Amino acid sequence: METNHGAINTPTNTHVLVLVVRGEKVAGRRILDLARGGYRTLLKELAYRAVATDPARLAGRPWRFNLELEGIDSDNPHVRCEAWLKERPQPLLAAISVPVGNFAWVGVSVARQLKLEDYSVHVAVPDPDHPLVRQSQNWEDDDFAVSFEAEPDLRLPTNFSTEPLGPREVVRRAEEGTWLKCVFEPEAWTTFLAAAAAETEAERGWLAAARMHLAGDACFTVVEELFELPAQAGQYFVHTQGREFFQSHRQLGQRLGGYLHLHPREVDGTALSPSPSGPDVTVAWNLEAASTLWPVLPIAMFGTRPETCRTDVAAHAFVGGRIREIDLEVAQ
Amino acid sequence: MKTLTFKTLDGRTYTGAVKNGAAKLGSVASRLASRAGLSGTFELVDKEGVSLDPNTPLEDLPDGQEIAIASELTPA
Repeated sequence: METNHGAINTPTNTHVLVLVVRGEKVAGRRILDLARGGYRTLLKELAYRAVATDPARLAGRPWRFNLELEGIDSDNPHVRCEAWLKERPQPLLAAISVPVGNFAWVGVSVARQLKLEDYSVHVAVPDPDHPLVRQSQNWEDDDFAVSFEAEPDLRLPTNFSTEPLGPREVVRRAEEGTWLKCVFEPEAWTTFLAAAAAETEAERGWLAAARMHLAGDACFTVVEELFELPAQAGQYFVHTQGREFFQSHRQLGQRLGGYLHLHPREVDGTALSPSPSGPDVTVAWNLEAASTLWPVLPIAMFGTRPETCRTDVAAHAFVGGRIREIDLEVAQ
Repeated sequence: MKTLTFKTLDGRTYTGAVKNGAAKLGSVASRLASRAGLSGTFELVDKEGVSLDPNTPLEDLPDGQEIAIASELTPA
């Protein structure tokens, strides 16, 4: 499988500490080694920005990813990521800088696992000698000795289109300024809305076959086709077992680009909103690890109809390390 | 010494030797998943996608076994 992930050059500390605080006590914490897994979203964003600089020349070429923490003594440290072409000459293709505070969503996930409701999340760059950093760097297991560890080589993406997008009906125009947008092919959109309009009993979810679309200063995930998740489903849950996801991942290969979720308007008298829940965030994080494409997460409520989707449908994706609203459009 | 290979769906590979044959497969895989930056729950499957029991002692697995760490998707 071709992938955008791979080894990175990290000469300095690349750890971020996420603390969940309740009252004056630390209720939970997580150390992220950005060189080992916390960087995936940044890596993908950088890959697509890099290839967008010259798609005809750069598609499929090997590249190198540099990651560095900047301003660690300041109140606003950033993660600086750079994409360099691996072949000589090795020009800098693209660079992005993201506040480490964007990893706060990890703390939200931790808080949900701990079932905390009243908490705050703090993100900081720990000292290189912090015990958690040392533990992360000196990973050793009493039961299993890893002798060979490999990540696929980095290649700039090839599964994208630069053809002009057709005229589109804007379903929901959300936060401006994000580089990533989400577009549905009409057939996939119709399938999703029809299921949402009909559903009254059980939650449902789909995996999306998608492609990337580079267009000037924007990058679109185009949802082409939906595949219903094999799942046990009830009114309050959808559960896809690992082997089922494994098979779906195999089936979709590099086309895997997102998941869509349909859930009830209320549970036990509590109204829900078309926003990602904690479990949605966890699913997206794991889906992102398995997909070379940006994950997209349109979420709708039971009973959604085309004429009401302006208020009932939202699209979300990880942008700059944070899950947030993005534009959702329908290709005509 | 028995060798096992763990893989995540994004193509990370961890090959190594069993140090404690009595250790449970699920316990070791969970730590490797955490090392790979994955969260949530997982099912362990072989190359063909057949589920492996997480309670299996490592000593009961065949030498050279390849194990995929497959995320379980549980939105709510």
